[in-house]
Amino acid sequence: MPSAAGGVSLASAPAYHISTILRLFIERLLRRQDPKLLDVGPICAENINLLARQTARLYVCDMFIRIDRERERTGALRSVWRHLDYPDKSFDGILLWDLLDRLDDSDVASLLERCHSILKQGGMLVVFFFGEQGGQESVNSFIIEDEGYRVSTRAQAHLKLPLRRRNARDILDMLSSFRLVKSVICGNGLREFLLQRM
Amino acid sequence: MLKKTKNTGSTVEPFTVASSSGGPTMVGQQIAIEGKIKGTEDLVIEGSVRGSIELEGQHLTVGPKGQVEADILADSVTISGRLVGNITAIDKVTITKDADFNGEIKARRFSVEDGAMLKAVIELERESPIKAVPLGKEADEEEDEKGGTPVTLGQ
Repeated sequence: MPSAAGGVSLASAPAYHISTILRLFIERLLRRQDPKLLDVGPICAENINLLARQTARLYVCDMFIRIDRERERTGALRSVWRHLDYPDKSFDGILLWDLLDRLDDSDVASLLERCHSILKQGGMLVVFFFGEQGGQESVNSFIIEDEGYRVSTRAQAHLKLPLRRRNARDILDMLSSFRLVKSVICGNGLREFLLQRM
Repeated sequence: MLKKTKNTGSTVEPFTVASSSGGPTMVGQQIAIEGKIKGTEDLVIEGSVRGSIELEGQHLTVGPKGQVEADILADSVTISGRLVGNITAIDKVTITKDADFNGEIKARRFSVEDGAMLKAVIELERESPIKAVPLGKEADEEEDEKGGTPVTLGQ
């Protein structure tokens, strides 16, 4: 059963959802030869074990904790993107989860620009947004629990990243450099996007 | 125990960790080693090590104070300190929440605690791909749908 830590009430909050977008993403990823996947965190042992056994090489770079520490240290994120110092066109897929919900617009632009560079042509990006109404202030990891793509959350109490609520139009504008393959709105307000680099 | 490095002209023989009946060998906080460590007993590093570490069939622990820059071959590895390098573990790599790891990991099993600082390339023994249930329709085109209905547990 998912953790209820960090103020998430099992009685009132959805405990999990079935992720169509993650299923599509993995299915398509595995059609590619020796797919290389980047997960930007938060670090989640369950996901690493699942994804590393599916892909040739799983790259993990926890940007949540790096952004959290950089913000605490300098109050800005000017240099945090250096951690994504991978060669251009390295990856077949990137899991951004809801990281964009934790960034200002200018930082979102910087991150998406970096993602665009390090994705191969046709590479895919998974992005979650909570929209204007949803979401929790506490940062959560999204845990792929099983082969049915049941996804639960686990609070990451060590991360203090503010939640930026955006409307759907702003979200789509931010993602305009990618092709939208599919988006799904979950009952808990979570919007899942599968995007592709053209 | 650790033997001192013997410099024999142009080559430097590696440190050798000798087998003993006691607990693991400890590299203490005030110890700094540069070179190759090779041995057949468990090793705990709380100090600084730079080079390579080969512990066939043994367990390596990088303690909370440990600072390691090395390529590592061991049966299993636990990291609680800072490690930069590549790990090949016959069995398991464990990374605790206090760890800061940067490098490659090849292992049979892997665990990491939330809160660890991790930048890694991870290769685990591969399984057959997830047997996904067909979605029923091609999803190449832009689409916006209600779905993924969450289920509430607990009540």
